[in-house]
Amino acid sequence: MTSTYADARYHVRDLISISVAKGELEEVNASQTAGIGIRVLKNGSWGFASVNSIKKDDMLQAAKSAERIAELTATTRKTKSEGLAEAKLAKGSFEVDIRGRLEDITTEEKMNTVVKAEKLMRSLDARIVSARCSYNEIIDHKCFASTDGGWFEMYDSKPEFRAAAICMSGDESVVGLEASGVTGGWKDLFSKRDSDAIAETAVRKAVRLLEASHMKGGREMVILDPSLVGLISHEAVGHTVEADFVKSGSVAKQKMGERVASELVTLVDSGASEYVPGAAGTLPVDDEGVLSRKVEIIKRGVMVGYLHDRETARSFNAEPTGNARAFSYNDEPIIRMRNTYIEPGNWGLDELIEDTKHGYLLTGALNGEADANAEFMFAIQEAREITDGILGKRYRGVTISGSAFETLSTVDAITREFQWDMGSGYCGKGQLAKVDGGSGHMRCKVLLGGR
Amino acid sequence: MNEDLMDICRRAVDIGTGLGASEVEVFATRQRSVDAGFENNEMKMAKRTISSAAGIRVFRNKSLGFASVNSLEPDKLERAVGHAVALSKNAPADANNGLPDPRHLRSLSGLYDDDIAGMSEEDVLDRAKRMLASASGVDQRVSVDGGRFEATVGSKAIVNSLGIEGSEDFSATYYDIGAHAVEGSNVSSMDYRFDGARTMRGNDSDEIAIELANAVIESLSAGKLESHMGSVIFSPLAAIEVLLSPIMFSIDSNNVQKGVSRFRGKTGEKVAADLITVLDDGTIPEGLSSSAFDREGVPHSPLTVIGNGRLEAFLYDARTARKEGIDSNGHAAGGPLSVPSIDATNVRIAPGSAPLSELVSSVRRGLLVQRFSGRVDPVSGDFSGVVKGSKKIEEGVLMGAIRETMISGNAYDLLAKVRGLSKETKKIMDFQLPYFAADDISITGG
Repeated sequence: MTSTYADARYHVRDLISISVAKGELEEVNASQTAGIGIRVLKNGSWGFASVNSIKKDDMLQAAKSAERIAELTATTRKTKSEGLAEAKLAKGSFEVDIRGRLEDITTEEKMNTVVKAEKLMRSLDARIVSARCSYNEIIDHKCFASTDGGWFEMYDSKPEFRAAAICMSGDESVVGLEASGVTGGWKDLFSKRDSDAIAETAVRKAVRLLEASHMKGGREMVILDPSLVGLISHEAVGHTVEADFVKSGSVAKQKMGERVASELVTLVDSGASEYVPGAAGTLPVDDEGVLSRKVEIIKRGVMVGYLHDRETARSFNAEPTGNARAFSYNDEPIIRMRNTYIEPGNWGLDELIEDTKHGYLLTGALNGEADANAEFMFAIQEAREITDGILGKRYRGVTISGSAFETLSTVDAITREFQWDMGSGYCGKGQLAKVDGGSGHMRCKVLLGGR
Repeated sequence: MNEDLMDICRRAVDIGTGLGASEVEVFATRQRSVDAGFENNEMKMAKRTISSAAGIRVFRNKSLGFASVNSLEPDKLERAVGHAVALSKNAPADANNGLPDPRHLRSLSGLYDDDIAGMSEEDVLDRAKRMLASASGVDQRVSVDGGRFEATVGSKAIVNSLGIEGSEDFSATYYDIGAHAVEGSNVSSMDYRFDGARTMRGNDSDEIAIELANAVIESLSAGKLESHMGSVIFSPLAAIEVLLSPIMFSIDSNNVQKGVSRFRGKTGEKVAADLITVLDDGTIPEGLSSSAFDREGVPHSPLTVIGNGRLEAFLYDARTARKEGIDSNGHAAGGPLSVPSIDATNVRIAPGSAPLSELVSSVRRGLLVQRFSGRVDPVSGDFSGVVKGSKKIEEGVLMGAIRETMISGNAYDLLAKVRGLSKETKKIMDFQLPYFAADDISITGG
């Protein structure tokens, strides 16, 4: 073969999923997927092929397919790939820090943990009509080699635990959600709270929300909790600075070197778990063999960095950042975030609430969406009104929306207690990725939607 | 018949029975696909995937065990069967656990298309290139963020120890495209379209690319709106999100039995406006979710879920049906890598009699919502979120695009007060439905 570049990634993934709802074991699944993905850059264009086998003939056929697809794609492209930037390539073995290897905990113990927590939820309040608890683990083992000398072997595990309590009264119904997701082992997953405590928190939330009101919408001062700051950082800002989106014309294209946020805002994406261990997006090396590094995206309010793979780094004349990630063996690496956060500030949360004349404390991120122009919409579990520095009435069914950069420009305070709080979810960009996000609590202005 | 795939399943069933499982089910697939993507107004990458997988579900003394593997090689399959049986030994027993009994399976036409099966890598690349050119050709202000065209062909087979045996060949194309428009410093919202088809005859990849390009151009220079209570016309895409997703949640018998469906205990009662009829049919020729049998090997058949606003049926799999002492109506769903769950197949909402233009002219003050980006809580039905690619309606006339506008309300209340359906319908994946008109919806301007 006469390709410019090629890499191969063998990836074995073991999954366990357990789900219990209203006393019934709905799922206990042990799944293994394994295969090799081969990527070829030839004639300024990419080809990718995967096969669920490591027999020599199958791998050779996949490599030939990838090369042929690259040749074919090259004939359709107006502009050719400029190639790959030089990078600090991995050469060695990596294993993330793990306390309590998941393989050492029996499936029976995992199942019992879920069954017990779900039962507890239904016993806590008569208004809980249904409860669901689930546990998922992903154990990845990867081997990678590239034609320019990068190679690595990596072992990584990411468990998650979720609890959902559904509360009803008359025609009113609410869902209380609580979850934990980390990079690490069984002890890491439950290091802050055990499974029963997570389940109890979900119930307490549901009961509170049942008595909460619906609010009218409008532009308001709010204090966002770390899950929401993480979500804005990831969804509304992070995607716009992924260099493939920048090339496509995301709003960040025009903003490099410009003030885009308040001076208090320093927004970072990192493959390491900064401040607090166990962030779910932790990644020592990416799927191009590039060693992960910390990227400042916004520094004291000014946009200073994008997230790159080796190809965009070359075309932007930048350094690769270790953000090329593939979810499965049959996915090609694309630019993805890892752990995305805003640096904590100096305020205490009580002090910040006391300082707020009128506004809302928003807690618990649900789903959300953001555009390439940084407009976002996120759903919130609970809003609590603040009047003259005192927490008051609760609201549910609340959404926030706005332009991320306009919102970040209104930030006037961030608290000092840092927390990762997005680790139980996944980011979707054609393929999934485990990511995390967090910060302290952050005060700013947004458009609130109610009912 | 895919005899070799069936043989693989039969052998795995025998292994499971030999290991002590009371009941064993094996679902296996074999697939190949080519996927060509574009990004930033340029062809990006194509990829070829060859895959196979098997899911093994066992019951041992009414206890569930499930394991899956992405290989049909005998040693890997045998290990997975062993794993499923081992898991069942520690799982709690449940009297309702068990596999369905065999029923006659008739084969369906229109699931496999030689034209898709015969597509080369060049053909798939060409289709993707055409989508890109179709969108870009509408207006030079259109910027295509990305998209893809995929052609898939495969076989699936299911065998269980009670005598169910079924297999089928299938093909499909899936495609999506995202774009925004740029005019100087004015950047529109990003929007997207997606669809799929069982045959090349049903392929509308170029059409959705053109529709998207026109939509993003129209959303340039979007203005803001004052908050008010007004009328909303939901496009089929927005209606899937806001109205249909809560219906789908509430007709799932598992949610009914868990006590979280708003439709529990309401069979035969009114749950929607008279003009709403919802049909589920997994046997529609060329339907994207059509198949002779469901994920448990139970035959599909047409089902009226809501007839003229009245709730007629829930969706069952073997387990939830057994709980109520009835037979499954063929709604077990999912792939080989996970335990079967319950889902609808092809869903149709019967159209109305008025053209869309008449629905628009009936609105004094409100919105035509093209897309909804927000949260819909399927339990309570509460929804709140931002509208995208949407336009203002004033005194029955469609006006300019709007931005930073939210709508909120309750989907179940809204279902009861839908006052109009268009006669035009749109197929999106396995849904086909009209435009919906409703009044008194909270609209919040930016």
